[in-house]
Amino acid sequence: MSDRRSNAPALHKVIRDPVHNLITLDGDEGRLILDLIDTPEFQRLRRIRQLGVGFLTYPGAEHSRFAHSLGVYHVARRMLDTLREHYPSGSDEYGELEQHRKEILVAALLHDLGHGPLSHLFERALPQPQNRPEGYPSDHEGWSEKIILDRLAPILERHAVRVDIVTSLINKRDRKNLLAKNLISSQLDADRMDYLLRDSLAAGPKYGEFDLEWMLHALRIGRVKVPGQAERLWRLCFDSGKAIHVVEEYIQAREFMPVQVYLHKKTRAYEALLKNAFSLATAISDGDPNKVPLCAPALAKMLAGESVTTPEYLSLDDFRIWTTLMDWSNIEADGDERVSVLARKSRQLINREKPYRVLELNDRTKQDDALKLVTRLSDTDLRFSCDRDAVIDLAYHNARYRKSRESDEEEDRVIYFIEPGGEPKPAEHLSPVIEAISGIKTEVFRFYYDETDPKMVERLRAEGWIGTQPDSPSTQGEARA
Amino acid sequence: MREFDEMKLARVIDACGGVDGRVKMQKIVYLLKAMGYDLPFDDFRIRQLGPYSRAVAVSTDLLTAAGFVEETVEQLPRNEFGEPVQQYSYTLSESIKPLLRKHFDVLAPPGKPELDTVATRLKGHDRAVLEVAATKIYLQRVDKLTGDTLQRELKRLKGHLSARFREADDLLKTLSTDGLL
Repeated sequence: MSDRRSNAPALHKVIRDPVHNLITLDGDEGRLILDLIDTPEFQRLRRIRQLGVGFLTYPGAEHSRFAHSLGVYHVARRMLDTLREHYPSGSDEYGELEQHRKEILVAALLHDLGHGPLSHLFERALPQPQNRPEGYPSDHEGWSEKIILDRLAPILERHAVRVDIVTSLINKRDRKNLLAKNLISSQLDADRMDYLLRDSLAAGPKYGEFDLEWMLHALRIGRVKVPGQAERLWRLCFDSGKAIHVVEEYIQAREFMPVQVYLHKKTRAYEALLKNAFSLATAISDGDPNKVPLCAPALAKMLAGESVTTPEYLSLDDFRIWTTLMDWSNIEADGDERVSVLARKSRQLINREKPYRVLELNDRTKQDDALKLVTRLSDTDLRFSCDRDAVIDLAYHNARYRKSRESDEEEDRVIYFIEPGGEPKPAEHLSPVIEAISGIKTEVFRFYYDETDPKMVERLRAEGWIGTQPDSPSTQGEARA
Repeated sequence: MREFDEMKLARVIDACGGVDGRVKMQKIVYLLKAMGYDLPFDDFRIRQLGPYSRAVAVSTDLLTAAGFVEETVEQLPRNEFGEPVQQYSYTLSESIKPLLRKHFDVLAPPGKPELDTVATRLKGHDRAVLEVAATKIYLQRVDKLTGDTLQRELKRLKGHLSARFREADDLLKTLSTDGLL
């Protein structure tokens, strides 16, 4: 057999992966994926950690968006192959997936292409550009689309892949190919199936584990009646005779991982520290990138609130951020107090020393008071020494709103079970465990402060937030060594 | 979501004098953004009930959890498909109001009225009308559809609300005449 395009031997490549073991790239489809993997744009993902600064809490959490993206491609391919075994070629159920197989696999591989350094933290840590050009991306999904259009479209066109469908599957702007979108972005998409397992394995806590093999084995397609919509929609479902317990396990993993890993107070405290350091650099710049000390031009522009080009954006990765922090940590202040503070905060990050202290805001009065405090400090330099955290995570909470017919999220956040020849039913109708979880919200309300800033500490003491001896931080899952 | 995005949503709820319904909240925020009011929530995508932002939904839940807004549930008549409907309504706590206007105000674009005027006006319209109007704007601006293509797609997505198309068109025409869109 030979490669149709070049008469070269047919591709058979195997990549060893800690989660899925062997990821194979075969034939023309494998050649397409390999051509994309081999681009500088995709290779950049090797230099972006999946969990941002999470490795400062969990030493093993060093894994990259590159490995995750390969994993998502692998899971998406296995989902398609499983469904192909159950539904004949050209069938109503499988037709859309068959028609757009290549686009689905490419979207799975490239869905995180636009992540900035430090993953999700980058979007929260930088100011939005003052004058955004028309079409300027507002988030990493937007950047993924832009990078595909600006840089990877020729490769996709050479392999007869529809670029518009790939970007539509990633940005989800239109209401087309909803079943295909289910595989890329939903409650049970390939992305989530990979990251729960990968993050759990790398970080260490076992809460993210679930039986992927059995989930794939039980994967089906059904036509569901969506509240508030006349047309029935094709949706991914699970065989109700096989999958109830594994889906329960999966949803619990989805509930536990944010609590134990993604929203860990030490990680969030370091995120607060980094956000403060960036905000300080933004204040130092006063809107002029040239005033940001010792910084790569693209990062300086973003810190100063300017837009950047695609090549400039692609020049940024975790290496660049940590190098900049190392440079800042040794910077000569020349009497500039703000630069001196920037150096100190950079040292705290680089050397993982003096993490921010955490105050849990356990009642509504404290949450209200913390908001008022942060707003009062917003005109002072103390704003660079504290941060308020307000996060709510809903593992399967949408069931509540689904019952109310007041949810726009129905199509991608409800998991359905189906029995052969039967009607799909929402998971919570068949599982008391899922019904119970659908009532659970994870709420995080915290206040972080820099104990190395004496003015901050003095202010908090004066207002009764802390006593003379601050609480000891948690040590679970942490290691400086 | 960025820091304090939810407080901008609280300011919208404040400007509306409370909002009846999560779907209505989504459409009001979308239309205000379409008019250029300084709101975050750049993640609007078309869903079965029109333009939808997950950040708006999460912000609503966050404000409720923090006690900054109060959520009440009311049983409504069945919808156009005969399905039972509960409506979630949101009102702002008094204690937070002064803070919002001082620190989290939503700026009006140059030459346009202040937020409260426009938000109250939108709130006066039925959810279904706002749903059709917001969907039409989305199809025009994001999908770049015009003329018959636009009408066909609108009918495909919102055909069950076709009885409200004229009201939605009237709303959009008035907003346009008044220089808001």
